[in-house]
Amino acid sequence: MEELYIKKVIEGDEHGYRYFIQRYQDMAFSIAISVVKDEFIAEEVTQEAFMKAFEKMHTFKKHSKFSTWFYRIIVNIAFRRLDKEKKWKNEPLVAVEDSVDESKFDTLEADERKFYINETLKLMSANESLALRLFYLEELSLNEIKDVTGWSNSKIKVVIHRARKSFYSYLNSLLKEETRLII
Amino acid sequence: MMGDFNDKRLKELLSDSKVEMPFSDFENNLMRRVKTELNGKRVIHKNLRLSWLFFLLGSVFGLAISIGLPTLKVELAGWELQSIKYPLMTIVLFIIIWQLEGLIKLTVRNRKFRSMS
Repeated sequence: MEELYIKKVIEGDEHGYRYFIQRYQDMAFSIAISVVKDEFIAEEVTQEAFMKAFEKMHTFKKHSKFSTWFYRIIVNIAFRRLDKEKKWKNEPLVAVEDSVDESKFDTLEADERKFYINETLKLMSANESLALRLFYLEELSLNEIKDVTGWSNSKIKVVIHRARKSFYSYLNSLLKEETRLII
Repeated sequence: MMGDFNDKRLKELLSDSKVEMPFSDFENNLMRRVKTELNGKRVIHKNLRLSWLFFLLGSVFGLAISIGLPTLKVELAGWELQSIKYPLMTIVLFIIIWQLEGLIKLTVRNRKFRSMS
């Protein structure tokens, strides 16, 4: 199905591209926001990535999945934008926790949980939140993450390991803060 | 370390927090941009082809005039057309080279842009 639309786009049928926009816009936005952390910048990054993918569609070699190829474009544009905005965050690792405080988390409504998880991802560094999204949410293999980010296997493992700990630490500290405010 | 990564709870938490595109007009805006981009490219390509066509037609016409006109035994304001053969040819050649350079630059730039994008 995807190949048919790729062919259409290469032949200059712009309507064929609507399929890709509808299918990948949420995922693209989710990847972009995990790097740039701002909704409006993430929207611009997503739009730029879609434009680039549209223009470069003829260079897509089909050695990998379209999604992996497209992730790479988004990640490159997002990190370039992050450089431009000078919003790199490289904090030393202080995170040691590796589970969420279930007693506090279970009392939250679904919307609140979603809010806290997204706030947690915003607090994390770009590399870490990106690694979590790619590995746990998009379920990419280490090799695919390597293709997307250009990182080495060992770097990916270290980033995911740190990201898990950071995630739980930030989430627990946000939950503690919430409890403190309620009390 | 890979054993640590098998964290079902984290997977659950992240899938519960899936982010969706919050801008409802995103798809239409993007399609408009795609359409504009595509039309722009088509127009540039068409204009470039027309430019080459008119350049060739103009060059042939210019050369024909500069070669053919002086062969006519006609006087123009007391001047024999034979005497303006070389100045006319110089002017025509100058224009041809000038326009050719511009067109080559434009074509190369267009190709580079297309291969970069």
